[in-house]
Amino acid sequence: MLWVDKYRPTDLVSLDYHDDISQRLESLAKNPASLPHLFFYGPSGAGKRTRISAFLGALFGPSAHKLKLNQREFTTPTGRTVEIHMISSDYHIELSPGDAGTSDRFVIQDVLKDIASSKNIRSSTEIKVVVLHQVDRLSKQAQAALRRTMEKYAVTCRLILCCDSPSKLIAPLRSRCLGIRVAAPCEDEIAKILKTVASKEEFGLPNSVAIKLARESDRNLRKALLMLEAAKVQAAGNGAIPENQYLPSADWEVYIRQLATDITKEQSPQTLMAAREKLYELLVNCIPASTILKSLTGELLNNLDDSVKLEVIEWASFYEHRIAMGSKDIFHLEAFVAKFMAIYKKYLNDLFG
Amino acid sequence: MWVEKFTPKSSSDLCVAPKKVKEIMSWIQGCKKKKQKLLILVGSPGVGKSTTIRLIAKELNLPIVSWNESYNPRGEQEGVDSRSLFSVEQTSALDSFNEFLQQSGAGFGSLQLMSSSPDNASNNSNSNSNSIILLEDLPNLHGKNAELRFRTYLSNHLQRSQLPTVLIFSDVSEGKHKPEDLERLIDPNDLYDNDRTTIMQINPVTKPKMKKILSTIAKREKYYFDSNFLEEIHHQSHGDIRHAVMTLQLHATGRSKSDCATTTTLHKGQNNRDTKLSAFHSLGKILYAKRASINGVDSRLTFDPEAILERSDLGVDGSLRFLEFHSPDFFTDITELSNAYGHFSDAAFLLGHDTVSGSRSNDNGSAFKYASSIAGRAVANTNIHPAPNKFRQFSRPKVFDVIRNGKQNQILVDQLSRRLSKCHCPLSNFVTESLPFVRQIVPQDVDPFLDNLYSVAMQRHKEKMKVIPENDDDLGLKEQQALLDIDDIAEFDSADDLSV
Repeated sequence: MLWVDKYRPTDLVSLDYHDDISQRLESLAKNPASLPHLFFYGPSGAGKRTRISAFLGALFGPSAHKLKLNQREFTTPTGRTVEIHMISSDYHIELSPGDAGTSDRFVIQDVLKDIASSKNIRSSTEIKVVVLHQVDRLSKQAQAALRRTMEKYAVTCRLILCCDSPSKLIAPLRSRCLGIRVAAPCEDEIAKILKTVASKEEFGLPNSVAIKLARESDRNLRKALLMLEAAKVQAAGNGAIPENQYLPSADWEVYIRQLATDITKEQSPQTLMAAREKLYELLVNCIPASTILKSLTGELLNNLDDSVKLEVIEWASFYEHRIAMGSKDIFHLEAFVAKFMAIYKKYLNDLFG
Repeated sequence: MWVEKFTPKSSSDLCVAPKKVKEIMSWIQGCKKKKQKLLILVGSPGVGKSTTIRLIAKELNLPIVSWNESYNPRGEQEGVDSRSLFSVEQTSALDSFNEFLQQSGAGFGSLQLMSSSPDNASNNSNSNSNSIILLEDLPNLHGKNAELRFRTYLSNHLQRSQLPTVLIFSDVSEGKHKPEDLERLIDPNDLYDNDRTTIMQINPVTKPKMKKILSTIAKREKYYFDSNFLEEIHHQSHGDIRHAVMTLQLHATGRSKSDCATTTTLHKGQNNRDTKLSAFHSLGKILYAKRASINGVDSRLTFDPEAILERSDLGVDGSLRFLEFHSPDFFTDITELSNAYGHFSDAAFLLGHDTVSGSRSNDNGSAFKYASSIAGRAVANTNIHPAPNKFRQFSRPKVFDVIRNGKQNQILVDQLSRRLSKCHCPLSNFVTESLPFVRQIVPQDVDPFLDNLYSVAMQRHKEKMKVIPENDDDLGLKEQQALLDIDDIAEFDSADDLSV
């Protein structure tokens, strides 16, 4: 079992940071009848899901953590069938309806109708909870459908929505929920948690390494814990992680860094073709195109003169928008790389005449 | 139908070159002695391949045993047999094909078989030993499995059969067949065995020949067409005599007999045979973007990009991917290339937009047209300093592989993420945040399919690890290692010495 899962807090009391949120959730759980719909948002790796499951535990008791994974098939009116993985306990169901693609609307309606039609017999609270993950991936139609069903079944069923950014959720939905922002933990908090985990696993972790890990992790606790575990595996042996330990970094980030140096080194149609191979490789490994573009831009900006930064950022945002709108990622990625090469070459030519 | 009415009655009437006819005839006559088994006739549709074989067989007095889709070895039971009602059509076609080959190859099948030779009845008694097996329409071959079965059936048949087999293959583009297409059907061992297999190419009907035939037909039907018109027909039919005769009949039916004076011209685009440009052709045109030069100044494009994309057999979507994949080769200036890529991105965006709004079926949507315009003109407009002409390889864009492999990997990653952690986090987060480290923590659990990136990163990592310790000891260690490597290559014996 990975440390990320092993040391995940299961109740509200043992959460490490954001005490104010924990307290508020605690008081909400005490009075289930007046529980509003909840909407957790915040950056990835901040602990949204951990808080949701801890909250469910406080609401329904420890048996809410007895989860089972099941698959359900939905048939849309047009005859298509979609398969959705769901995690459920006796009291709640978790699913990410965005997996259904364009038929997410039917999935939401079906699940909610199903749940709401049966009352909760095992708990005194008489309500059921549906947790919807990644609601930012829902289509506009699905969100509108959610808005109607939310009110219809409000008596028996509460929704907990969860996603990274609230901006992709339509305003009527946001207004129907109690928004809870789970901010990313600060670096000190991460370092502290890393130290705790290290002491539980019984190995020494120098403060400098803990801080370095926290800094490298982009304030993403999940990433930080995984990095710690990977570093421990690399350090080998049972002793402490040495101070000069090479910290593991994500392979695809290394790869993108390489790509960035490649395309700043030489700008020609040939290098573009080489860069394209790298992009293909990244896409084959399921790295989302928008993530590629974002981190590539970040890497490129590091070694760039201020005079061209603005232009590069402008084009990056232009093509990221394109990626978000269309389905043909690779065209836009390559167009961006070509654009950057053109801009950079012009800059160099102007510089050296 | 004139096509049937004026079917050649003897081999001398054929529009296939007499030399070819003789060759085929001698092959059929000689195949018994030379142990030749298979003749493959290759040629575009409608040049008279089947007719040639049938006529030759008739003249040599050999019955033809031919297979077609509706062949049923159980004869009159058809329709009553419950199995044939419920069995899957495709596999049963292949099975019946096999059965057919076995029966006819053994030389006793023709009693039950429909023999296409008209004087079948009289020949039946002595036909068994010298009939020809004609494979004209092959069973549907979908997928690798079916192809494999077909190949084994056919090669078994060739091993066993006493009778010559003629395979007619009309799947050609621009008059040439692709060897790999034939290889898919026939085991290469059999295909390239010159003793047993002969491949003959039948060329499209030549212009004088076709004109002669068409005017003979016209005369017999008492119509008159002028020579230009017939030439036009030949041009449009691309040497397909069947199509040419049909066109002739179409134009004749509208007119009263002996109405001869009006000079008819074929309306362009009205009854053109649908000519599809091959991918190679159409994209080459767009990528090279030749311009007509007037007084040394390049001016207009020599082609119409929209028309080419429309006629290309790839469709705009596919063409765009091909263009995008191949265009860097044609550019010398990165700025120009970047402009072209900008245009491709625009086109892709417009195409993608169409699918989002759900009007996929309507290919004539306005956005679609803009997209094809942009895509077709991107290279021509931006490439001011084109790369010099040279041999370029034309291959399928890798994007398709990338998309397919990406999907497979996605499934693998999904399974992995479910297996590893109960709390199932979004897939994209798992890939970017968890997976790289999970690989290092529990490498045995991660599927080797996903290892490419990892190996690159690990190499980097090792380099870094090497750089950090810069003691003399380490350098010595490195030298030793290098020595070891050299010795490893030299011979294993020396390794023993080293260890001592």
